[in-house]
Amino acid sequence: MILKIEEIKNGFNEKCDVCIVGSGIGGGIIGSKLAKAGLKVILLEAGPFVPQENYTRHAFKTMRDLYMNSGFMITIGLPPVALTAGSLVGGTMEIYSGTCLRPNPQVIDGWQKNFDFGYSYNDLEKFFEEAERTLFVSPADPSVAGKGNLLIKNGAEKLGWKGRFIPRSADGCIGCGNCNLGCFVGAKKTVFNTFMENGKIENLYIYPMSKAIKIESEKGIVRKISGWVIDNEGRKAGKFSISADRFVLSAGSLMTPVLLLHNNLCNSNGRVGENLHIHPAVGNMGYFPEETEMWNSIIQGYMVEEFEDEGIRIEGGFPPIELFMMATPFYLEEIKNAIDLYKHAVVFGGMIKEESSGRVRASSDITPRIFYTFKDSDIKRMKKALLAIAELFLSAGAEKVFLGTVSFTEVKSKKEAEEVLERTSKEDILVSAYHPMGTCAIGGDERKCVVDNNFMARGMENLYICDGSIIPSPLGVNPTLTIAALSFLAAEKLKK
Amino acid sequence: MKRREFIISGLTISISITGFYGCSKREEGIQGEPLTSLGETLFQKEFVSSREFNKEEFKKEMKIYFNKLPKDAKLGLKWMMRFLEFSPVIFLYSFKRFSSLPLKKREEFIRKMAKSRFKMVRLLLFSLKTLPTLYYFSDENLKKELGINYKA
Repeated sequence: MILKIEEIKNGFNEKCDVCIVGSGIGGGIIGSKLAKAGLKVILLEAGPFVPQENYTRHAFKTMRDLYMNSGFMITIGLPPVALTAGSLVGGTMEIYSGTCLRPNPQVIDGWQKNFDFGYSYNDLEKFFEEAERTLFVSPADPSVAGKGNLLIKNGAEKLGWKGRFIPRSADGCIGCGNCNLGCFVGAKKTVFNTFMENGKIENLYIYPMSKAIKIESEKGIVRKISGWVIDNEGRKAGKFSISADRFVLSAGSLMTPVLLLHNNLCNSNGRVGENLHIHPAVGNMGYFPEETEMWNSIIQGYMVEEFEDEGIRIEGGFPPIELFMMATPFYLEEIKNAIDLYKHAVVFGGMIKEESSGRVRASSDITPRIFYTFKDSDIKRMKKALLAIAELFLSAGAEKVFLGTVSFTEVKSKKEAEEVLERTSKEDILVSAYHPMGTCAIGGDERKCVVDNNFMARGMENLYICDGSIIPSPLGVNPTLTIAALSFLAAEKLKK
Repeated sequence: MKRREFIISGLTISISITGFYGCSKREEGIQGEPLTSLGETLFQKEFVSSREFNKEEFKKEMKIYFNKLPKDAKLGLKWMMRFLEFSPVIFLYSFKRFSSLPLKKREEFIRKMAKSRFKMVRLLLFSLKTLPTLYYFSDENLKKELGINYKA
């Protein structure tokens, strides 16, 4: 059941078998599996609960109320990266684009080799299958994908580049383009409307607007987790405290290390918050002669895998008009022209499987402070991605391409794009990221890993961790299926 | 460095420091003013559409936004707003705050900032316009007026 804010705003004290911090894909899967096994589970979620029918197209309010740090999360370092993550019941899946891809088996092999990860790709295969089955993963439907995706498909085919419609957890999608503000159609399958059965599992108690802060422990045993209930206007309303036999941190790659660092836990090897990977993404806008209606398309419907060996994946990323206008440097009279640009635009991005890494630190108000420095090799790759997308747009029939840099430079040929990118400095590249991972790596290697192969936080006896933070290295694909597979495995361990 | 550039850099640094240290909590209400004025200038009636920027509603929504922002982000945003508020002295040689300038002067100020040779200044304006822009274009009726008709 989902507790209402009116019931909990004055605070609460509860006892349960398992207390989980975070209701995203990690916490949601573990919570529902354990509750179904008969354990009393409490799920604490810092964000609100939003019923499907209450999602809107109001980007300002959605970002402010449902995104972590109100969508205002910038890394410290050059170029700065705008990071986004969800903060609501169901986690980032509620506002993600629906993309569901398995990682390359070599990635998991790499974990075994470099982090002494205790499982092979084959061990995880049945969990990938279960996740894909439950989330109804299937390729985006071309009939609703929208003009933009089809134009790019043609462009890729003309160039002879490998590409395909993206497998998504959105069975019945109508291509209304609102994935990132919440699917009010109900087509998108999320952890909440599948595994968590819309919050109707017996023994599973979901507490929204409850931000965990203090982890009270004694000799490696966690006794209590306490924190604040936050009201709808972001103010502290009441205190809460949960006692349990076992605790699970699934607050995501940014908040899980913050909670550990704030409480001085599990950091004997100094690796908590280190090893942050984000899959930095860059993007261009192509201007086409015809109206493209990005707003009536699948946001992320088609991808080009031609450069996968180089760690570059090219995917759609159609923004609603408010995000487009926000992210383009047009002022005063120019804004009217920008609206015309939007109507004829297609936006595609390049996601990098990076070599760089960053770190997360806890600020005094228990929010993440994120540092990220790029290696030159990744800057080169980002430029390569921008060039490839420009070429793709031109091949698809774009009249001109606007490069994703601070000056939003317009180019009309590949050569021109090459010249502009050659003289673009790294701080001028506009970078965003949507896949934070790796800040509490899992594996048997005690020097590198915060979590052991049983998902137990090192140095603790009843504190488990399972979310994106345990992924030890960049996947090169959206991490949803990988976190799901790891969460099934963690749930099995916790059941024993 | 030319003398003019030296003076501009000095003033920029001074205003930045004033902004950084001058961000007391009680001023949060006032702090929203520069963003509201920026929104009002960018989205004047008939400039983009027949709908003007709803200042009162924006201020109300921004108050909640401020409450929800983490400390670091709040400080960063306040710093940027302070810069905007006090920088007419650099671009217009006027000692008036940005939010007390007449509309035409604010337009002139934005044009100068957007074309500034200093990348940091352009970036600052770019960052500051995000919130009023996001708010203005989130209006369902505005989208309809602009011809953004959704299938659902």
